[in-house]
Amino acid sequence: MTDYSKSIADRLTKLAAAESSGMVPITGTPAGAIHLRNGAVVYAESSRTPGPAGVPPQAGAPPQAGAPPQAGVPPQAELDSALGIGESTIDAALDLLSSRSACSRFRALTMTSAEPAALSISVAELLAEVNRRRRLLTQLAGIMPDSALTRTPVLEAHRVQVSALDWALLIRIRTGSTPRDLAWELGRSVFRTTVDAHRLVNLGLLTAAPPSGTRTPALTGSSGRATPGDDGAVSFLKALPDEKGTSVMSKVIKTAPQRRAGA
Amino acid sequence: MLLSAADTVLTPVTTIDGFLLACLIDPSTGMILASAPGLGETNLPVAAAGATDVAYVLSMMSAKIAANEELDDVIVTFSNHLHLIRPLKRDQAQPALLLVILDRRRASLAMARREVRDFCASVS
Repeated sequence: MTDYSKSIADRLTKLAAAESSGMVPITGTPAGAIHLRNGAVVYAESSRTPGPAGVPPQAGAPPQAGAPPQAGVPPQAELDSALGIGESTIDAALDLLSSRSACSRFRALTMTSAEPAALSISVAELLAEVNRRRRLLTQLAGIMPDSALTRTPVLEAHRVQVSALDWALLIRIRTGSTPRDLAWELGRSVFRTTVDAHRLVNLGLLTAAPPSGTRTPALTGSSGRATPGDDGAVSFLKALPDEKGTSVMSKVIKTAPQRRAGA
Repeated sequence: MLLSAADTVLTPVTTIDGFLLACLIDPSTGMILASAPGLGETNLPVAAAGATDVAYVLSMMSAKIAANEELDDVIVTFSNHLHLIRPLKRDQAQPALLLVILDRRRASLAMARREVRDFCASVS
């Protein structure tokens, strides 16, 4: 973790401990804000990541949840809203915490709405998820959100099957398109688009060149470009924290009765 | 659990015989979206990451085989547990993967598979 991101993380941790409500403005590139309610993160926005689809970004006003779900009825809209806002919030937090941006003065707000926020995630859980995503990014063989992608002119495979989403991504690639550009165009998270682009590189449909002037892991390709099959598949198991790390699900696991010693 | 509002979605699968644990996972990012912990001692993050890895590898295999087929489900059989993994056929922009872990001694695989399939159809 860089000094910059550590300072943002430290500030958030202190605000969470004080159960603060308000907004932490982040200045620099990217600029953004992290919104808190009673110490929990309810929304985050970055100037370099798309917001949730269909929810216009409103500084200081995190999205609200709709009516509370009724027991036994799958709250589809609730789920979609929570997933959309959750992904865009974590995507923004990853961007803000991976940059050289810094916190500005915290703006405390008095909660005027009794309506629950659509998202409520503890600072510890948010930081754990951001760190898990960082570990995943290190597995992507140099494909970063700002890597330039190019469609492979000649396919090695006789034929390849892609999903509708893969196809939507492939047809939007122009000279120098990056996962971040495509994420904005598709209204998806930058992190998710980067992982999807990596999979398409491994399928031999794309090649990726590292972004200039950025800190990227060493590329494994002899040409200095990420090429299909350079690194194999992503492993989500490898991205889990070690035994000393904080798991996103630690709260749930601790509630399970009679944990086996050493498990 | 990141999105506690989404946990109620999983209530129907908690009634499956032998239920130990269930979660919804974003297959693109590996993030756990919702969870329903039962009485089991399974390490949920590890099980979810493993299920995501399985789905990822199978998606790569399916892409390379190019048989114009989609993954229906995966059944992993351990000596004491069953792991059922099934993609929810949702909006492509918001895909999700369901993982249900059952006690093998108390579960009926055929019934559980049917109930998981029906649940996935109801939330897709």
